[in-house]
Amino acid sequence: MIENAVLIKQGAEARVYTAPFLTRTAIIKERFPKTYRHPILDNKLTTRRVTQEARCLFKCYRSGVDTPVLYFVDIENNAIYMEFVKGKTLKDLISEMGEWSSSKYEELTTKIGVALAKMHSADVIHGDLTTSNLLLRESNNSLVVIDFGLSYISSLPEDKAVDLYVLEKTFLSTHPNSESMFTSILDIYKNNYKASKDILSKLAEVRLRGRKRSMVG
Amino acid sequence: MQSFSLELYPSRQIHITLYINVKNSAELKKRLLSHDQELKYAFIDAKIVLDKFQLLVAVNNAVHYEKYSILKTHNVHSEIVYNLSPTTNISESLRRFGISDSTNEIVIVKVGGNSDEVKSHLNTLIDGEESSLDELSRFTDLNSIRKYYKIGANVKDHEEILNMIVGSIAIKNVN
Repeated sequence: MIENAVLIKQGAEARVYTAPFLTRTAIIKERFPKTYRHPILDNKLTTRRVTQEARCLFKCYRSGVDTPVLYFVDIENNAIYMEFVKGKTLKDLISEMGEWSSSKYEELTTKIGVALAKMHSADVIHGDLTTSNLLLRESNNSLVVIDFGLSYISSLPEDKAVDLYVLEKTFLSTHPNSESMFTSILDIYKNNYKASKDILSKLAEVRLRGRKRSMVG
Repeated sequence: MQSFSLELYPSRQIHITLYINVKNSAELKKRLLSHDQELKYAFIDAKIVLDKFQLLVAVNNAVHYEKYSILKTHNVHSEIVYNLSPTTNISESLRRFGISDSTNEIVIVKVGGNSDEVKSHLNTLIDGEESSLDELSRFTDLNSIRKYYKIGANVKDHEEILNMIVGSIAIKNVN
């Protein structure tokens, strides 16, 4: 780890630091060993998560979704180095902007819908779409998707529908009266993603049963 | 010549310089191929370098792999050239990103050593003029860069192209 790295967040899976890196400022996400697992198994699983996260992050960037730029993947120490994005989370932004009106939020919902459409077109499932994992970049107001820690690649409408469902849930539980906001995001998503029909009908199914599939029968 | 230090591996300085109007590329290349121990440098074709940051990311990778003894090539300097390339084909990478017989503008990277010594040694090795790294953009060939890094014409912004390059280098050994 870089000597004067500053710890900014400690989660259940990883520690996040910020530090100067090769003339820029980087965010360093370091996954630490889980002591309740057998060390060999733990190392194998952690390494797999790190590579998967880096791949999904960069695949998204390549597909035209704004994400932090990938700088360095340190497989030996299970750390990912990426661009430090200066900006506000969607969560804070919504509480600042206040009451929903379609005109006030039009620009924002369009950006979100387009970004999600691009991400899912590239078969990247984010896995943890919340309003804290979407940022608005300070320099150019572009919508940045962050934290690909639970991401994976899948082309199944089911997985994409669940991804959207998770976002819908955070919208409804943390931001009052945001149903219409999510609806307008879905509209943009639909218009920017040709294969979205199956996903949206799956979403209706997922809404009825919840995130987990029934294992009965 | 500019010198940098890597935050992760601060013990050795990284020296980067640009030589223009180089006349003896063919000789340099021949000596590299015969593993001449005097040439402990990375020789890079200036036309595929968009920015210093691109070089530093490749250098950081190479030094990291050296530390963990997982170099794919003979030494840390050839590894820098190899790491600039997004593919894992070593000979193709060295051909595309290293120097050819006709290369006139060369970016040189040296890991370790003292900058004055590096500078005077390079002056004896290279038949050309040292130039400022700020001149780099004059020699950049965007078409080659787009081709080698598979960057489509829809990406126009300089910063965005650089980000794609850097990401491709970073993801190389993960894929």
